[in-house]
This record gives sequence, C-alpha cells and structure tokens, in this order.
Amino acid sequence: MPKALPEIVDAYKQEGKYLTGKWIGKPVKTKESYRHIRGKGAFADDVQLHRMVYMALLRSPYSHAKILNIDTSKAKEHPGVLLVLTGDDIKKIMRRPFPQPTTPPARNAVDYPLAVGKARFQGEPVAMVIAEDRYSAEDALDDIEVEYDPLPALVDGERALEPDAPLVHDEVGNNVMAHVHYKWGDVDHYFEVADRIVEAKFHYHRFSSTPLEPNVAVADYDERLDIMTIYCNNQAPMEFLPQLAAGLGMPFPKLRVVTRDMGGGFGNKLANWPYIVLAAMASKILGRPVKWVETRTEHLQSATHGAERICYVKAAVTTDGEVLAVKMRCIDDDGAYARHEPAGITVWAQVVPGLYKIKALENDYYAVFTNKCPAAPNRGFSRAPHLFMIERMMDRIARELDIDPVELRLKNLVPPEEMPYETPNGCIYDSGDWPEGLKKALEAANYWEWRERQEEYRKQGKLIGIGVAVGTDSAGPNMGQVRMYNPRLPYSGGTEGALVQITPDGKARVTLGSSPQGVSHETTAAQVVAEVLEMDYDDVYVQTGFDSFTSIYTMHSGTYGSRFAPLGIPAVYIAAARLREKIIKIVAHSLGCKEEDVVLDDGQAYCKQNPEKKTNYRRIARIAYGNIPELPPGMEPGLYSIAIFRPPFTHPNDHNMANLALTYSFNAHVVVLEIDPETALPNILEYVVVDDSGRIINPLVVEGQVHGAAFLGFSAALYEEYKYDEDGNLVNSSFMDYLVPYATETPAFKVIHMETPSPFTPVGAKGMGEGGGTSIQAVINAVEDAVAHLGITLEKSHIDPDTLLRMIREARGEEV
Amino acid sequence: MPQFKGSELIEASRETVWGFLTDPNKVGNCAPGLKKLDVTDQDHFSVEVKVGLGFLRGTVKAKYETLEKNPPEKLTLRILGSGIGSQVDIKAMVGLKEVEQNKTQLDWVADVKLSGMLAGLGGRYINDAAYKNVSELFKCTREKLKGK
Amino acid sequence: MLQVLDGLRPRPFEYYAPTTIEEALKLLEEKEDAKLLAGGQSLLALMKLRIISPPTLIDLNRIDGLRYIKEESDGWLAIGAMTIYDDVEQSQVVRRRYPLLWEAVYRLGDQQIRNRGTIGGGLVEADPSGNLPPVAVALRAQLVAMNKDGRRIIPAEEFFVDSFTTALEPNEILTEVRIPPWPERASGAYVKLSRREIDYPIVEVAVQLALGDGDDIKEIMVVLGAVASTPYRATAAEGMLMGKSFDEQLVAKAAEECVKDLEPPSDVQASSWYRKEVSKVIVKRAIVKAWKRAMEVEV
Ligand SMILES: Cc1cc2nc3c(=O)[nH]c(=O)nc-3n(C[C@H](O)[C@H](O)[C@H](O)COP(=O)(O)OP(=O)(O)OC[C@H]3O[C@@H](n4cnc5c(N)ncnc54)[C@H](O)[C@@H]3O)c2cc1C
Repeated sequence: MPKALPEIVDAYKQEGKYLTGKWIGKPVKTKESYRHIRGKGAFADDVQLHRMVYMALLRSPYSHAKILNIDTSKAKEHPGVLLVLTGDDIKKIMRRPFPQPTTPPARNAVDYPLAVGKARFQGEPVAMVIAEDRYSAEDALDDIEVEYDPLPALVDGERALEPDAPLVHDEVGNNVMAHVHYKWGDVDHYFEVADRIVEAKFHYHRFSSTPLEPNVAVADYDERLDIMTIYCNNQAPMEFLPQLAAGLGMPFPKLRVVTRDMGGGFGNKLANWPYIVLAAMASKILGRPVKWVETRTEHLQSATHGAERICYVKAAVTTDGEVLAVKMRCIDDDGAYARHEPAGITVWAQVVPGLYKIKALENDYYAVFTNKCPAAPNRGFSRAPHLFMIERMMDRIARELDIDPVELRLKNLVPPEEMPYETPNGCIYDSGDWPEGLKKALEAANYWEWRERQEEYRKQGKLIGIGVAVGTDSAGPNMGQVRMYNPRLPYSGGTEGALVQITPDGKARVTLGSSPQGVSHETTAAQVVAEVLEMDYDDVYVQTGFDSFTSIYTMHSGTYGSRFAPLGIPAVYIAAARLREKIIKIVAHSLGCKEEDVVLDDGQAYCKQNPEKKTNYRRIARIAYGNIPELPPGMEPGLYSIAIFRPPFTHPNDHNMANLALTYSFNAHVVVLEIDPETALPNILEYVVVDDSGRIINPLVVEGQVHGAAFLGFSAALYEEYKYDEDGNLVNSSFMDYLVPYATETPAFKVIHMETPSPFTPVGAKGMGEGGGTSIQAVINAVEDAVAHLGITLEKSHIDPDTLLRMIREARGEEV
Repeated sequence: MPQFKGSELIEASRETVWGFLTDPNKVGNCAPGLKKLDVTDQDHFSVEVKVGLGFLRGTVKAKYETLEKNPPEKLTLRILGSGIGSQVDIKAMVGLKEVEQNKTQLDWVADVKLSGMLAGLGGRYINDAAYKNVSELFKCTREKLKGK
Repeated sequence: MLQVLDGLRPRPFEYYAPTTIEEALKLLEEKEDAKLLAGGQSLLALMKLRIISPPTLIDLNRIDGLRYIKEESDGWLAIGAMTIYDDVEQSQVVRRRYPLLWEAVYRLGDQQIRNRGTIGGGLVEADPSGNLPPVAVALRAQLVAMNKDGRRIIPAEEFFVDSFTTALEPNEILTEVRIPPWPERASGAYVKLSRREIDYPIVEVAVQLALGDGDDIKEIMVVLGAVASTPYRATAAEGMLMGKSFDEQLVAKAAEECVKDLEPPSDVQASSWYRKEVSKVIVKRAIVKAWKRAMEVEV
C-alpha cells in the first residue's frame, strides 16, 4: 500500500504552536508518587462512609450448571445480615437484562449480574449478601443452600463451533458470539502469484495482567438529594453509565461516578460494572452506602480474562522473502458473556499488516461463548494477539526460506519514506523509522555476535535462543471499529475532554476525562499545561481520577486503548492553548500593547516593549473573576477552558475501511535466553527494547510503561496462564499457582529511546502504554529459536518447562 | 479428572460383602470421619463427615447413592459432597471377586470431580486427601467384615 | 478495628496467647480441635481461604525461650521451635556446619515469609513439598515433643507420617529440633527446582554425606521432597555411592537409580513425568555439590 494521500494527512495534521521544551520532555517528579510512596494513595477501598455496609457474593462452584433451587432463609437470619438477593430477585428489580452489543442470535443471550436459571462460568455470582460488616456477610454465604444440576462444560473455543457442543446460552441456539469475514486487498491474486505458501496454527493463551488492586465499588445512595454516588475503579465509567442509569431508572445528572487512584487496570477493570450495578441496587434498597471489595481468588476466577485466540494462518510469500498477503481463520474464546467482547474481533484491524508492507489480508473470524470467565481487554487488547500471529509467522517464513528472521523483517518493514502509510484497510501509520529502530535494538543486544556463537553453544549441548520481534502500540482508537461486527452500534469516533481553569488565585486547575490507573496522567497533563501557559509545574493541580460531576467527558472517555497521549493530552493542550489566547488578550488590554507583543514567562506576563512592567496570573485572574470592568470590552468573565479533541475519524465504510487509531508507536524487542536442556527452565541472558513513542512528555513515565509492557509479555510467555480443567474449573485461582514472576525472575530490561513525533497530535506524543504485546512474541520466538534445530515448533504464546522438556525429549526420539 | 484405584482382600463371602455394601446402615457407618448418618432408603443416605488430611480438615456433607447394582459382582456408588467452599462428585465402581471360599477381592476405581475453592488450588491439598478418604471407606469395610 | 483485618476474613475463632509452655499445653488439652499458631504463614493463609476453620487458636509467640540456636557441648545443634527462618538464614553456625539447612531456608518463600515462618511450623505442617522435612531427615535430626506429662524425642525419619500428618499427638507441642554432629569431613547440599524462586519446590532434594580418609563416601543420606506424601529416602542411590570415590558418572547412575521407583504426584505446576525426570537432574546436581563441598573443592 502506498503513502497515505496528502488530503488525508492534512485532515489529521496537528500543530503544537506553544511547545518550548521547558516542561515537556523533562523527567519531573510525578505528582502521584508523593502520595503513593508514603502509602497515602486514595483508592476506592479507602472510601469510608458513615453507616457503610458490605456486600459479599456467593459464586457458582460449577462452570456450567442449572440452578434448581436457592434457599436463603437461614442466611437472612444470620446476625448482621440486612439483605440477601438471588438472581431471580435481581431479575425482578432490573426488569431488563443488560443490553447486548451483539447481533442476533447472539443478542438473545440473557445477562444479569447474578446468574438466573443457570450458572455459565465458575465463579459467576448466584446470590449476594449485604451485612453490617464483611465478616458477617461472608459468614452468611455459608448459610445459603444452592441446589445445582451440573451440565457438561464447554471449555474449548474450537469445540464451541461443533454442532453437538454444549450450549452456553440456550436462547442463542449456538455458541457464536459474533462472526465476521473481512477481506482487504486482492488476497486471491497474491496467493496465485506467490512462490510459496507458508502455513501455521497459533494459539494465544488466556492470561491477564492481575492488577495489584482488585475490583472495588462503593455505592452511596443519598435519599435526601436523590443522588447515587459510585466510587469505583472502572477504567471507563462512561461506558457503563447508560447501563447503570437504565438499571436504576435514574437520569445521568443524578448519577455521580467517581474514580480515584487505581492500582492498575490493564483493561481488566473495564467490565466490572455488573458488580457496581449490584452494589448500587443494594444501596438504593437499604438507603445505606454499600462497599464491595473483590478477593484475589474472585479476581482471578471471575473478574475478566484476556480472550484466548486460535488462528490458522497462511502467508503468500516470494522466494526472496517478500510477504505479499495473509489468509487467516481465527476463533476468539470470549467466555460466558459478551460484556465487552466481541469487540476484539474488530480491534485488531488497527494493525492488519503488522508493521509490514503486506498488501492484502483475509480473515474468517468467530468469537464464541464458552463456560469460562468472560473476556475483556487486557493490555494490548486484540492487537497484541494479532501482532503475535504476524510476528510468529515472520519467524516461520524466515525458517522456511532459510533467511535470517531479522533480514526478513528488514525487507518487509514499512520504510520511513512511505510514512504516513496507509494500510490495506485504511489505517494511517503516522510516523517512524522502523528499520532504523530494529537495527538499533540488534546492535544493543549484540545480535549478530549471539547468532555466530549460537552454533558453538549448541555443540557444547547448550540451548541458546535469540528472539526478535517488532511491534506497534496502535493508540487512540476510533471506536467506530465495533461497527465492523455490529453496524448498528451508535458508537464511533475517538474523543476525549479536558478542562483547564486558572482559578482566582492564579493557579491552574485541570480535570480530565480519563480514569488514570497508575499511569501518571496528573503529571503529564500538568507538564503540558505548565508548558502552554508558561507557568510553574507545581502551580498546576490536576484532579485525581474521574468524576462525572466535574470532569469533561464524552462517551469514549476513559483510560484504555493507550489513548491518553493521543486523545487526552491533545484535549489538555487545546484547552490550555485557548486559555492562553484569552490571557494574552487580557494582558494586552491591561498593559496596553498588541497581543503579539505579550510575553508569558513563568507565571508572569509583560509587553515586549516594557519588560519591567509585569503582571502575573493572580492579578489577571482577579480581573477575570472579580474586577470585570478591567477586562477587554465584551469579553466573557472567568478563565475556564473546555476542549474536546476530535480527530477526523469516520465510520468504517462498506468495505470495512477506515482509519482506526490515531498514532502508532514503535518498539523492537531482542531477547537472548538459555534453556536448561535437562529441566527446560528458561534463563534470560539479554533483553533489549527500543521504543519510539513520539515526543516524550516525561521520560520517567515512558520508561515505566516500557518496563511494564515488557514485563507483562515476558511473564505471559513463561509464567502466566489461566488453566482450566475439562470441567471448567480454573485450577490456578490463587497467586500460589497463577504464577506472576517476582523481581528474582525478571530480567533487567535495557531500554533505548527514539523520538519521532506524531504529526497527528499537537504535542507529537503517541500512545505507548500497552506496548503491543511485543515481548510475548519476542520471548516465544527466542524459545522456539533455541530448540528449532531439533525440529520443534511452538504453537502457543505460552510455554512451561514441563511441556518444553517433553518436546525436547520427543524430538530427540526418547520415550516420554 | 483424577482417577484413583485400590483393592482390598476381605475375609468374607462375596454375598456378605455385597450385603454390607448395599446396606446404608452398614456401609454408611464406614464413611470416614462420620459425625452423622441419615438413611433415606435402600439406595440413598446422607452423612456429615469430618474429612481431610492431618491438620487440613473440614466438615463435608455428602449424599450417597447406589447407581447400578449387578449383584453380587458390580456396584456403582455416587458420592456428592459439599463443604469447604467446594463440591466433590465421586463415582466409585466396585467389583467383587471371590478368590476362595470366604475370601473376596474388592477392586475399586473412583473418578473424582472437584469444583469450587479446592479445585482452584491446583490439586495441591486435594488429590492425596481424596484418595485416602475413598480408600478408608473400603478399608473400613474390610475391617468390619473380618472373620464374618 | 475491623480495618486491620480487612482482606483476611477467617470464620470466627477463639484466641489465646499463653506466656508459658505449661499454659499452652493445658489449653491444648482443654480446647477441642485447637490449633497452635506459630508464624501463621500456612495456618492463617488456609483460614483466610476458609479451607480450615479451627475453633480455637493458641498463639505460641508470647512464650519466651522457644527461639534460639544453640551449639551444645556434645556437639549437637539445638534450634527452638519458634526460631524464625531468617534467624536460621543469618546463623553462621548453621551456614558453616549444615549448609543444606542454610540453603533450604535461604530458598524458602520470600523475605516476609522468612521473617515470620518458624522452623517448628515448617516441620509440623508436614507439607509434602515443604523445604524442611527432607532436610531434617537427611541430617538425622531429632524432634523434641512435649505434652503436660513430659518430653519425648522423635527421629525425623519417623516424624513425617503422611501428607500434612506427623507423629505428634494432638496434645503435643514441638519445642526443639536437634541436629547431631556430623564427622569432620561432612557436608551437604539442598537443591530445589521451582519456576519462581518463591514457590514451593516442584521437586527438591537434601543430601548430607561424610567422607572417609580420601574422597570416598562413608555416610550418605539422599532425601527427596515433593515426590511423595512424605520425604523419600533414596536408599538405592545411597547404597551405590557408599564407599565410592568421587565419580560424576557414578553419581548420574545413582540418580537414575534413585528415581526408578518414584511415582510422584501430578498437579498444576508439573506432571508426574516431569517431576520424575527433573528429580534425576537435581539429585545428581545436589550430590555432586555436597561431595565437592565435603572435599572442599570450590562449587
Ligand atoms: C507465599 C508463600 C510461599 C511459601 N513458600 C514456601 C516454600 O517455598 N517452601 C516451604 O517449605 N514453605 C513455604 N511456605 C510456607 C512456610 O514455610 C510456612 O511458614 C511454614 O510452612 C509454616 O510455619 P509457620 O511458623 O508459619 O507455622 P503456622 O502456619 O503458624 O503453623 C503451621 C502448622 O504447624 C502447627 N505448628 C506450628 N508450630 C508448632 C509447634 N511448635 N508445635 C506443634 N505444632 C505447631 C500449626 O498448628 C499449624 O498446624 C510459603 C508460604 C507462603 C505464604
């Protein structure tokens, strides 16, 4: 595909007129750290309210079972218990189940926050208890008697499509949550002209990011004011507000949703609203604040998991290593309910050709229901699994063609001169020098040296693997992509809001539409405001978290899709820039010079002609708020500025073409590892990341995100996996068995930065927090590289020593 | 799903063993850690037992049901237990062989299906305990029938 | 008040904190199904998950005189039951005389757990994959149990009766672990294989050996953990090495031999097959390490 058309590029182009580099790019101390380091974070669980009571949930031990009877009489008698509700009660209260995002027949699925009639995954809540304290609530759970009739469990995504598979939702009639068939470019032609077709099957496993803080909700219904306040740690409160409003029969202006500090989100906290709805209903019934805090086991078993994906991939290639086109057939195992999924069936389309000049792609794609925990986004949502398929495929192609995997990548990477680049499905890759980035990573990791030494090590019986992968964090999503599976969803574009105010004392107050989860939005927003308004960083106060009564929001607001840098920061920038223009007018008027002669400097202002005669923000604010006659005639008083950033996103057209993300950061990971040939335990010898996320607002924040993303992938590849048995039991539902590595296992990541500003955001920053999952593919590439000479290939995105040792033994012709 | 097996050599005739295993009042009293026994009918009874291993013990309520009877050779028992935040579903197939007069070999195979809290602990505490508790049942049968 | 315990919600229980061992023993006789609370690193975790719900806890932490490491005049090393892992890890005597014990503790859990967990708790818990049981057996340790009528000594090899089950009677408290002196040229090694450092071992082995005049083995104990309900003594391997001089190939053969009869359990961390395969590897590595240590060859 070619360089994007100039008119498209123009439509997206943004300029940052007020960038000086005084604050942006500086490693200033993060605003959030001060409270966090002292253990004084303000998390949802820190909310303590007068007369507060506690909610506990009884959960299904079965992954699939009819609920024959629930006897709550004893629990109701338990001391301290105030309320016990079952699914049937909730059904009466709610009147309607949660609206489904899917099309018929999947749309017929019935989803309530407590199971009605049958339980569809292990850990699904079947009854709730509210009591004066948490002990009583949990004790009373023991007194509820549920009679179940266990049904055969469906735990395999491929099996879900077989005609005789157990039905997760009888109302749907099959297990298909969504089905799409996309074709971009002339796939058939390329498959005809190709020299060779390379085929593979890959399996992206189930895991999540296990935020330190599990889900929390406090619902406080104030009867006097008729206001429902929800303190929670949902990442995008505006996504569930409509559900909550409908469930409670309350208008938006009466519903206040507040997020505060959040102990990580990663997408896992997008779909916690069924619990919020329960707490809110209970609070309304009892007229008392209700708190619910998830336990770790509840979180692992039943919060949300990243979807599992299986793909059959075929690539049309030329003998000299040009990758022309790809055909895929994929299945997403999305678990028991469509609570955020099946969005994943479309979201990967942000990165259809990976980072390569692949000209065409076809995908026949199913999302299916199974008796597993419902899936929701997990850092790198849907794009990471797709990039896994592409990057793994590149290694396979290289091996089949006997080309070094790095040479193959360099040959196919989109070159800098073709940026901004339009992909086969209309996405615009905004900027970057990807081949250069990859070369930098190779150099830093001594790639060629390791390659030379690898053979020698093998002769000594050592298994050394070198894995390389490139990735992009496509960021600032165009929500319209969900219309690629359900064209009727009234949800499109990608926007974010911000408010910047100079308060009457001359300080800046900022509110954000995002719901930060430990990613330093307070810091980076303050740096931008300080830079644009030429004031001190310490004088900028950014409200912690989201508050639907004070934050400026759209229906897209939230923290997900790496969207703060590409969408949130522009809103802050534009709001500040507008305020700057107003301030300059006031200064010009009151000091008596032309606007273009006004100079702002460190919270002060003067006219170029007379630097001695200064005014400052406090004085300007006094005028704007209280001394109105001194304002320029006709000017509206006050120093408020609201901005909502709107990139020129469109709906996908009839061919499912559209630009689906605003910025594309780049990263390259090089891993060298050793596999103990006797135990198959891994040991990482070298780990290098090159990251280019456009203009860096704060290097400390970017570095933290790069480490986090690299860790996540390394961990998922070698340690983290949700394991289900054939009955649908999650057999590792505690941190004893769901293995998250410690510092003792984690390699030292060497991080190198590049800085290619995005032309599509005013500050030039790109989203980068999710990191594109690159480390998973790099680590798995490395493991495969270590054992490929034995004839071993890896299908999955996860490998454990037991499985690997078995493969090594089998490959060596030993009996296992 | 773990499967356990074992066998006992019982000093009693096959008929006696059969009679014991199909009498809820007899076999019921062999439930390990028995605290309470309620006989519903010929084929059904329920118990409250304290089971576990070493210091890992908890109270479990279990329902016993005779599923298949093929006298005096084959018998299938189903035990549905709940407690400790978990459910266990045991299907025990019992075969009786007369090895010589008044000596019966009892072979058992049990499929154990576990769900809930304990199932989430990766088999760590449970496999051993399940095996031991099922085998207790038949060991007790052997002891009680000694010399009968 | 409840705030403090938030996130840790066992069922209701009675709590006693006696200050003398006599008082504790009396409570133990009186209170049905009471549990002793040492470091709580296993007990409280299981209570929090409501897997166990003892009606009564008797806390041993306020009793003086159960936390010590003493070298006795007859050469025995006595360790009080309430001695925390970290004390053992920091002990120079332990490190010098019984490097396998030091290694077993060093490689147990993480620092928080080592700051709380006790030697007594780690032994009495009798977790089939606990770090300490195979070490106690390999060192031929003796465990001192006390009830209201007096003390008795239980050899480690007889102490572990079944998974999570010891030879202690319900009315007994473990008060001390006693390790005999080994000859001058003796040493040991503990090797644990786990995916993360903090994890319980997938398999583990404790080796203690003593040399004759040369590099020949005069005495040897090879004890595996996590492969059976109780520590597994690899007597066949021991037999193959007795009287032999240092020979890595022979060690490898002995290691093969030692796993032959093993039928280790499968669980979510590893299959029985994997446990068996890697047992071979770590047994070999541990014996070589212990042997070299005894020969004072750098390892
Ligand atoms: C995250 C984590 C990781 C861990 N990793 C490992 C590991 O890698 N290897 C390992 O071996 N262990 C590990 N452990 C467990 C740790 O070793 C426990 O501390 C130990 O098993 C119990 O010691 P305690 O002092 O905490 O005993 P408690 O938990 O207080 O008690 C354990 C049992 O012993 C009984 N008991 C305690 N003291 C006495 C006594 N003096 N007399 C009679 N009975 C007594 C108690 O009644 C109870 O039944 C881990 C624990 C955690 C939480």
